[in-house]
Amino acid sequence: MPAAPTLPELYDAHAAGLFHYFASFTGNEADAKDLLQELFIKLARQPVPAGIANLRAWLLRLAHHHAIDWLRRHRVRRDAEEAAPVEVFATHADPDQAELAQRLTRALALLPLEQRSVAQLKLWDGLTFEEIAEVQGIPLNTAASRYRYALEKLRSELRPLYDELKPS
Amino acid sequence: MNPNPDTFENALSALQRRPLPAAWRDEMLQVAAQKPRVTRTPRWLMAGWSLAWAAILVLYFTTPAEPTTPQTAGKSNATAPMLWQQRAAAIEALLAAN
Repeated sequence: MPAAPTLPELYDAHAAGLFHYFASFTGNEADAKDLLQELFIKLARQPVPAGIANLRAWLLRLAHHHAIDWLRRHRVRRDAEEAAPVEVFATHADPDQAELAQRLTRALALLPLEQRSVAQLKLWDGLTFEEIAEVQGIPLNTAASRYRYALEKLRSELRPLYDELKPS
Repeated sequence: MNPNPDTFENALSALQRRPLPAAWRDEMLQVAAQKPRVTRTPRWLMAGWSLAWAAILVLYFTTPAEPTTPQTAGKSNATAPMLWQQRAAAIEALLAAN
């Protein structure tokens, strides 16, 4: 059985993904950072149990519960959805990619929280619908339909730019 | 015209997410590694409580109970019919006055 990962290993492999997942809930960087810190404190005190098949999904499920608790405590769902978007993407040297990243950040911020978080898990964390359903505690069909709606909205927001950029 | 879903999704997935600031790593791992602060009741307060309870127990066991002698018990038994008699006499006097 492989040894449980150390805290620095967990950080290096998963912190960025967890931070962006938290940011999709909080809508601001400071709260997302606080949530990430709290999660790592929790992980330091209750190490990863042995026999976890998919560590990323397990951590994201932990993060999801933590974020939901945070939302309940702060009752800021509306504020989070209306706040200025957190910068999600890296700086791109290619101006077209930079423009797409900027527009996508804004388009993601316009999505409802449920759709935004599912889109993040699918597109950038590489989770399957089954894993997303498990992480968020929702039915598989709900995960798939939330993703479909999210993608449709992103497509309609980004279509002009995407049509311009895509290779013909 | 709708863009091909696969191509569109691939274009989105290909965008790299922003890495976390390097300074966060040490900061977060240091905070996480700190031992949790256990909030205990201060010793002086515990000592105070213990002394107070000890005093209560000493006083409870050393104070003699109020004596309930047979005389007082008998007296109370004897006074009840007397009171009834007095009350009956008072009622009779009232009735006679009217």
